[in-house]
Amino acid sequence: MRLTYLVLSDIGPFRGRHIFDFSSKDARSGYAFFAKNGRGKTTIYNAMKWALFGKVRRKSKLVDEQVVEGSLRPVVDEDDYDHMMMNYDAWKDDVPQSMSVLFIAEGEFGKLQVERTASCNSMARKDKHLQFSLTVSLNGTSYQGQAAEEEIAKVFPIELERFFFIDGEEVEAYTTMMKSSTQGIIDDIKSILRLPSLTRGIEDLRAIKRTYDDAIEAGAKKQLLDTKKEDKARTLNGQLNMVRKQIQETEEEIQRLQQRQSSFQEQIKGVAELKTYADEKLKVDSQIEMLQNTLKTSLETFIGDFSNAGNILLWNKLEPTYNALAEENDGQQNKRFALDRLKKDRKKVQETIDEFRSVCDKCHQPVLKAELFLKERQVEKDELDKEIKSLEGSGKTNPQQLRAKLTALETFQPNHGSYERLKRSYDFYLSQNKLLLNLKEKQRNLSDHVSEDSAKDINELAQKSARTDQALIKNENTLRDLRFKEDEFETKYKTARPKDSDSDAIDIVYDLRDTIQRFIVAIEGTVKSYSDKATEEVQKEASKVFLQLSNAPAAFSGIRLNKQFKASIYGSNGRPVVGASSGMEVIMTLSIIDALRTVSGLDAPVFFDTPARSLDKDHKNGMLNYFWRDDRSQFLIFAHSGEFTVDEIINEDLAVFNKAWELMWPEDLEMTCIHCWSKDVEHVSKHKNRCNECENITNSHSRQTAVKEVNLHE
Amino acid sequence: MADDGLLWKEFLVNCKKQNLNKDLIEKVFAYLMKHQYSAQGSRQGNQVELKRILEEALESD
Repeated sequence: MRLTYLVLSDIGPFRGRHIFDFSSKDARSGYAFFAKNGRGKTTIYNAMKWALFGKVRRKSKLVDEQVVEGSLRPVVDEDDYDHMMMNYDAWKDDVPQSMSVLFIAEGEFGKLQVERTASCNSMARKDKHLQFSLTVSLNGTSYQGQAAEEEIAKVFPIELERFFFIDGEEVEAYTTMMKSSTQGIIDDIKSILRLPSLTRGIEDLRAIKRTYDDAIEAGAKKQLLDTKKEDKARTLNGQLNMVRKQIQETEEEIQRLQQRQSSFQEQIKGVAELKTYADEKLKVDSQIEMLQNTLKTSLETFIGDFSNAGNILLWNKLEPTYNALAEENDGQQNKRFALDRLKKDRKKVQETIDEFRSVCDKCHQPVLKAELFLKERQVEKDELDKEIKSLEGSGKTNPQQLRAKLTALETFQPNHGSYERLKRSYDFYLSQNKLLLNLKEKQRNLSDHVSEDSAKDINELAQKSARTDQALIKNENTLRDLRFKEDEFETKYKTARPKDSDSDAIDIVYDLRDTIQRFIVAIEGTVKSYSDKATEEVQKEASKVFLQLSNAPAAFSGIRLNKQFKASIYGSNGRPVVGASSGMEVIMTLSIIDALRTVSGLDAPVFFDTPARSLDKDHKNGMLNYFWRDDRSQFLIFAHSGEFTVDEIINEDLAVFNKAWELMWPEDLEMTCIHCWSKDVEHVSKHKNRCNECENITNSHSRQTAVKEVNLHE
Repeated sequence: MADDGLLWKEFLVNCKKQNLNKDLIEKVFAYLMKHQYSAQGSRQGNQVELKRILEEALESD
C-alpha cells in the first residue's frame, strides 16, 4: 500500500491548500520532510492521523516508567490557540472557517480516498462549535459517517496506529513499554499479529453455537414434551376406543329395542278393539279406586259434622227462651245506665241550689232575679226525682239470676254454621256415593266385553311397549352423548398427538454445532501455536534488523522476546546486555516494530516523526539505509534540522529517497519569493519583499509555511 | 495482508487436525481477516455472515 496524495488546507502553519504528491513510478520507499522546528513537520504527521482516525493526541509521557497517554488536541481553542490544529489566520480571518485533509492511498484494496473536514460558518471558539464531516471513497463507492470510519478501519485499523505512525519523541516510551512488557504494548503486539481476529472469531463462533445449543435444547424439550403428549394421546385414544365400543353396544341395543317395539306394536294392532275396552275398563277401575278413597274421606267428614246434630236440634227449642232472657237482660242494663245518669243530674242541681247566694261576693250588690232562678232549679230537681222514682219502681227480676239462666242455656248453643256444614257434607257424601254406583255399573258393562285376564294381558303389553319406548329414548340419548364424547376425544387426541419432527433439520443443527465446536478448538489451538511461532519469528526478524542497524553487530546475538513480549537485547555471549545505550534501545524498538510488521504481513506506510532524535550519526545512517530500500513499504520521515539536512543526506550518500520536501518560513529564505522561489526579489518596505517575477509580496516575518520539493537531481 | 502468512499456515494446520473442510476453512479465515478490526457494534451483523457461511457449507455437503 502506498500513500499517493496528501492535501492539507488551513492546518497548522499551512495557510491555504498544500498538495503533496507521493505518486511515483520509482520503487524507492523513502520520503522525507525537512524543516526547522515549528515549520509543520509534526503538523503533516498529525494531519494524516486526524484524517484517518479523527483525533490527534498530544505526545504521551513517561512518568515513573509508566506511559501516560496525551490528551486530545483541539481543532480550535480560543483559550489555547498556540496548540490548536486549525491555521491561526484561517481561524481568525476566514468566514466560513475551515480545515481539511485529503488522504489518498492505493493498495490491494484498490484506491482509498479519505477527506475529513472541520468547519464553522461563524466564529468557532471551541470544537463543539464546529461541524465535522468525513467522506470516504473506496474504488468509487462513497461512504459517510460511521460507514466511512469502518471502511478506513479495514485498511488503517486504529489498533495498529503505533505501527503506522512512529513518533521519535515517543520511541523512548515505546522502549520502556517493550522492556517492561506493559499491557498497552502487549495489546498492540497482539493486534498486529492479528490475534484479536482469532479471539473475536472464537467469540463469534461461541455466540453462534449458543443459538444451536438453544435449538438443540429446545429440540430435547420438544422430545420430552412429545413423549408426554404421546402418553396423553395414548390415554385419550384408549378413552376414544372405549367410547366407540359403547357407541357400538348402544347402537345394537337400540336396534334390539326397535325390533322389540315393532313386535309390541304388531301385537297391539291385533287386539286394537279389545284394547279400547281394556283401556276404558282400566280407566274406570282407576276412577272407582280413587272415588272409593274420596267417599271414605267424605263419610268421615260427615260423621264428624254429625256429632253436633243433637245440639242443633235442642237449640231449635231453646233459642226463643234464650233470646227473651237476653232481651230482658239488655233492658235491665239500660235502666241502670239511665238511673245513674238521672242521679248525677239531680246531684248537680242540688249543688247549684245549695251554693247559690242572693248578694254578689265581689260587689256586695243583690243578684237580680235570684228568687226566680232558685225556683226554676227546684222545679228541675222535682222532675228528676219523679223520673228516678218511676224507674226504680219498674222490673223486679234479679240481674244475677238472669245472667245465670243465660249462661246455662249457652252450653247447648252449637257453633256458628254447624248446621250448614252438616248439610253440605251430607250432600257431598250422597253425590259421591251416587257417582260410585254409576261407575260400578259401567265397570260391570265393560267386563262383559273384555275379560279380566285379557285386560290384564293387553295392559301388560301396553306397559311393555311403553317401557320399550322409554328404553329406546334413554338409549338414543345415551348414543347422542356418546357421539359428543367421541367427537371431543377425537379432537383432543388429534391435538395431543405430537407432530412429526423434522429429523433432517435437527441433524443439520447437530452437524453445525459440531463443526463450530471443531473450529473453536482449531482456533484455540491456532492462538497457542501461532503466538509461540509468531513470537519466535518476530524475535528472529527483530534480531536480524537489530544486527543490521547496530554499529557493533559482533557484540550482540540479537533480541529476545518472552511470552509476554518483554524485549531484551542479548550479547554475543548469550546473556542479556546490562546498561544498553539509549540509542541501542531505540534501535531495538524500531527492529521489533519492523519485525512485527514483517511477520504480520502488514503492508502499510510508516510515518516516522523526528526519527533520529535519540540516535547517533551511525545509527541514523544505518536506519535510513535499512528502511529506504526499494523492496520495502513507504517510509516517510519528518526530520528536523538537528537530525538530518538535505545537504547532509546527499553528502553522506543517503539520498536514496523517492521524494523530499523542505518546509520553510519566509525568514528561512533570504531574498527568495516563497510563491515562485525566484531570487529576483526586491525589498519594498519593512519586512516586505516583492518578487519581480510573480509580483507577489512576501512578509518576511510571516509564519506561514511554504513547501518546496527538493530537487534531488541538482 | 497476505493469506499465505504464518497465521494462515497455523490456522490451516489446526483446522485440518479437526478434519474441517478446506473450502470452509478458507471461508472462515477470510471472515476472520475481514472483520478483525470491525467495530464492536457490527459484531452481531458479522455473526450472521459467519452463520450463513457455515450453514451454506454444510447444506452443500
